[in-house]
This record gives sequence, C-alpha cells and structure tokens, in this order.
Amino acid sequence: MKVTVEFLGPVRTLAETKEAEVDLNDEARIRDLLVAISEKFPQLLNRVIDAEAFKLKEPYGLSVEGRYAVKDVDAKIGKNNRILIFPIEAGG
Amino acid sequence: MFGYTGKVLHLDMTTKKSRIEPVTEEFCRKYIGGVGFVARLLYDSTKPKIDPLSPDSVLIFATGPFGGTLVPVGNKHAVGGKSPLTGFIGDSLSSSFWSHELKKAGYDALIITGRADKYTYLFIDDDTVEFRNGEALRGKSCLDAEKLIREELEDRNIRVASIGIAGENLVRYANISNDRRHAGRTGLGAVMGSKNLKAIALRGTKTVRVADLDELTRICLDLYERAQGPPTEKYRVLGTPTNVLVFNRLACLPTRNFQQATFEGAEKVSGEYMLEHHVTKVSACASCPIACDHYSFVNEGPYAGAATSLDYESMFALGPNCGVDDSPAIIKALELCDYYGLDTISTGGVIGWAMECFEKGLLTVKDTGGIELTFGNHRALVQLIHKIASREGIGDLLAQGVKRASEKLGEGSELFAMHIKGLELPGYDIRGLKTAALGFAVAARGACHNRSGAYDYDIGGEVDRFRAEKGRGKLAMESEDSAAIFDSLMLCKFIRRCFKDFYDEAAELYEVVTGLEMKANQLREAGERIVNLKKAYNVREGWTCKDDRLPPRIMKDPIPDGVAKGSLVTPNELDLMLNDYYEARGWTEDGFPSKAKLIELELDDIAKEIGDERRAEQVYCL
Repeated sequence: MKVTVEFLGPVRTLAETKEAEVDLNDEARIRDLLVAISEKFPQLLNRVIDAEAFKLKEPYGLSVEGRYAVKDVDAKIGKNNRILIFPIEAGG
Repeated sequence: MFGYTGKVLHLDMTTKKSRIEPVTEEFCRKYIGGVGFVARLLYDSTKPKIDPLSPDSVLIFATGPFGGTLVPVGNKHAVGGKSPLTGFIGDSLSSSFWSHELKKAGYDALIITGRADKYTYLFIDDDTVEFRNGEALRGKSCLDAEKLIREELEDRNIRVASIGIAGENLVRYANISNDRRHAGRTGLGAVMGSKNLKAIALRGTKTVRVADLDELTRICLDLYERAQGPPTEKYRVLGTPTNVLVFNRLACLPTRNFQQATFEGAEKVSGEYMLEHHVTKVSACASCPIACDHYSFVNEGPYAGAATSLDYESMFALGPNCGVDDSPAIIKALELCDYYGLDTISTGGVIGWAMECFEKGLLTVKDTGGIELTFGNHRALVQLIHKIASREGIGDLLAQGVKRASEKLGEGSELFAMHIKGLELPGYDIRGLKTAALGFAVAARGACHNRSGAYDYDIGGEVDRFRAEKGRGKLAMESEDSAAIFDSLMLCKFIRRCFKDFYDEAAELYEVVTGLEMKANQLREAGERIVNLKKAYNVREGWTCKDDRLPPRIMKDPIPDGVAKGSLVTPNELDLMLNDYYEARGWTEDGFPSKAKLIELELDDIAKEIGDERRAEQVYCL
C-alpha cells in the first residue's frame, strides 16, 4: 500500500520536502514506515528518527491524519492513512 | 548568600526615597525567585482591592537564583503587580541582559510604589539610586528611550527596561521592554505608566557568587551540550513560528477571532515561509545556547523597512486571528506593537474581536473613523494599532481590552470576546485541546499558555485531546506546578525537554548555585506553594469559581473546520474537569484553597486571612 507522510517544522526543513509517499506492505507497522522514510531521507536519522530502535526521537511525534497521536511503533498503519511527523513540543 | 543577593530594593516614586530590606534564606527556599517572589511580595505589600493604576499599587521586578551565573537560559526576570486587565495577579516574564544586570547591581527584586509628580526614570547604579527627570523621554519608544538614557548617562552598556507610548497612555495591555524582549502579558506597562515611571536603567558591577563553581561548570557544560540537540531543534531552526503549520494541520490555529481553527493562508505566514523570505538573523538572549529569536525584515512593498523578532504567539494574533495572510503587514504590525509597547497577543485578540463586531454590524465606519475593519484588511490592522496606542477614536475603547470593550459595546459581543478572567486567549484553539482548556481556565493570571503547559499532553498524544475525563485535573496541576518552578528559578521553558528528570536536576543546580539544601520533592512542593499563593491573592481580590469559566464560544460553537471539526468543551465537560482539578489540588469543591492545604504548604498566615470565613462570604455572593 502507499502511505503519504507529511513533514512539518524542522522535519520538513531537514527532508527538504513537504511530503513523501512510501510503499509498504499491507501489514506494515509504524516502525516499518520509519525504516522506509529513513532510507528515503537518511538525513533524518539520529536527528528525527533513532537509527537503532527506529522510533522517533524526542520531541518528535507522529499523528494519523492530524487527529490521533500514535506512540506505539508496533501499531498497524491503515490503508490511505496520511501520517504527520512533527515536533510535539508546542509553546511559543 | 550564594546565588541570591539577599536584598530587595524598595522605591517610592512619590517621596523619591529608597530603602533596602533583606531577604532571608527561608524566604528564598520557600518562594525560589521570579514569580514566586512576585506572588509573596505582592501579597504582603498591598492592601486588598486596590486600584492597579493608583499610587497604592506596586510594581515588582524579581530575578531568580540563577541570574548572573553560568546556568543556561537562567537570565530572566519576572514583573508583577495587580493586573489592570484582569484585576487579579499579573505576572509576566522577560529575559536577557537587564535581568543579569539587576543581579550584578546587587538586588534580587525591586518593589516600586507611589506616583512621581513628573515623568521620571530610575537609575540604579550598584548601591546608588537616582530618581531622574524623564520628561524628555515622554512619547518615545522603548528603543529610543534606551538610546537616550545611555547617551545621557554616557555609558553604552547600561541596561534599560522601559514603557512605550501605550504604557504612558495606560493601555491596559501595555508591556515593559528591555533588550528587545518584552514582559508582555497582563498590562504591567500600564501600572508602570501610572507611576509616571518611564524606565529603569541599571548598571551593576558586582559579582554573583555561587556555592560550588567547579560542579556548576560541569553541570552547565553538559546542559549546554544537551541544549544543542534535537529537543531544541524546533526553536533553533524556525523558532516558535514552527507552530503555525503544525497547529493548522491539527486544527487548533485560532483564525478570525476563533471562528475557525484552520487558516487557508497558513503557508504564507508560516515559520517556513518567514525563514525563506524575511529572516535576516537569528540571535539569543543572554546566556542562551538555543537562540530562538528570528529577526525578520521586509525588503519591498508598502511595508518595506519594517523589522521585528518573530514568535508564534505574535504571528497568530496579528495574522490568522485577524484573517491577515500578508507577511510584510504582520511584520509591520509587530514592529508597531514593539514601538508603542503593546502586548501582541492582547492587541491581536482585541482587533480580531473588533473585526468580528464590524462584520456583524455592531461597529460601523462611523465608529472606526472610516476604517473598513474587515478580516484580512491588513491596512486596517496597522491603522488600529496606532489608534490603540494613542487612544484615538475607537482606539480608546479597544485600549481597555476585550472584556471591558465588549461589556461596553454589549449587543451580544460578549459572546465572542475571547478572554478568560479578562486576559485575551493565546494561540491555541482549546476546543480540540481539552487538557489545555482546563489549564487555561484555572490559570491565576487568566488565559495562559505559559503558566500551564497542559497542551503538551494533548498535542504530544499523552491523552485523547478531544476527550474530557477524570485525571485531567492532576495533569493540569502538575503542569502548573512545574511551570511555577521554571518561572521562579527563571529558566526559559524552551530547555524543558533537555532535562532527564527536571525536579532532580533543577534541585541539584539550585544546591550547587545557592548552597541551600533543596531536594526534588521540596522543589515540587515550592511549585505547589507558589500556585496556591497566587490563587490566594486572587481570592483576596474577590475570585469566585465563575472566574474559571471558558469563553462562551469555546463552550457553544463547535470547531467548524479541519480535523477537529465538531469539537468544543461543553459546560458539563468543563465542570467535570474543574471538579477534578480542585480535588487534585486539595481545594474545596468550589475551588477555594482550603485552610488545611495552605497550612500544609507553610502558608499559615494566609490560611488565617483567606481561609474558610472568606470563602463562605464569597460563595454567598455568587
């Protein structure tokens, strides 16, 4: 399945694009998505994505459609999901 | 003493006399510094129910124990007094070299009372205090006043905190500026103006001593390194304007006076856009390794030459909240707020409300002096800022803040006056951030994203942000207590994610700097004490649980757009969360600090004064 990932804040600046599409198998988990993104955007490794555990580094978060935050990297991804990666730290 | 100077300088503007009072170690350990000092000094030095703009009111400036030391982001100061906007405790933070200088001059805090017969500025030169003629500074901007004072005193290193024309004209949301930073919220610039005090100039040549310099150096080097990593990347890369697109996507970006939660022009006013088109340099406050300040400039067009520092709150308020997507106009509007000395959040809140009034026919061109005050009209935005600062025409009404302005205008405009306790809302549409909604409702100074960081739970996915449930009270309480400690140690919260265990590490830093024993649990308790003390001050000023209500729009009008569509905080949900919060705090069910809780927090004298008797009296008045 194809999943669209939106990048916001420093993630967008590092990735140098607003969004990307990644190909995943139908049983893919969040961790698989992060591995695929790391392959496409290696500059995110260790800045946004932990290179060993393939989870997001503090203070980045992931949300499905901007509505539901996902903390568990073993959570399954739904078809046609748009995933956001952004700094969860608000304030300003 | 180490860390602290052990001195509070009292200044009477009426008699032009000053005196020093000592600060005890016990006082320092109980109230820490900054907003903790402000709360206690304000409570003790004013009578109940004073007019905040009268000579009886006090204006307090307080540093923290880390000011003037190596501690990163520790050079901030709190300004406090009774807010002319809310009638409750007002405190606001600024940072950088002025804070540092106050410590080096030898003071932990200043308490200013009275009213000078002529415009005056203070020059505190270590142990010498001068009340100097400030008449020539009237009508000057903060930056111009700084420049003129330095020229007059023939020292370019003198640090100045001053008010602009808005403060002189007693605009109820005037700020106090220093080093291009601003103590913006709650209108303390008007309190300063009411004292005919234009500026406070400082020259400090003393050394701030610390208890264990070697250990402090070791800890700080580690903290400086952490502060260069991912936890602060957002601030370093785009600054807080990062929030614009994130909040737009999460549908919590207040737009057109909170009528919407997404803005179709968000990309054009985003941090990303600003970085590409306007940012000319990035700078930092004194002793800050993060550097979030994105200084921006307009190169061409009708606003060419405008320049300001960008931050999210200012941009939301004068951009999306007014329907404005013209980035040069927003920079111009911010520059004008800086020039006049206006709090940008309140300014944008008031103008957004006025625009909605205009579009609903409650204000006409006759009222506005010919201005077509429609959302998105950036020329109108800029024109209104001039009028507010000078209190000209409709500006006189708007200078009162949205609560008073809507009460005066009436005709249902109160229903979309976006304030809590009289303080205009910051840039979070809390209808889809329910823990934040509770945090905003209960904050002592009114709608506030700085005294409660409860939005972190919602945005970070710690909780379901669309749900109100038991347990949020404890979260809101913990967030408030932690914020109180940051704001009393006077640490910038942008470093908050650099701590592995904040209370443990902050307590260690405190011990190393001050030599006073402080454990994590004692620091945590100090945070709780400070929040209770601020609430006690509000109770003394007449607080009742009605003051913890959210604006009608938050409770009646669901978000119409974006991923949060349909969300609102119903009155029942608010009641549920408020009850949960009051219970978590150990307060009475109607939200008053209980005598037992105040005594537990070693606030026995306050327990006697605002204990159960006053509660009974105020509940009776409901």
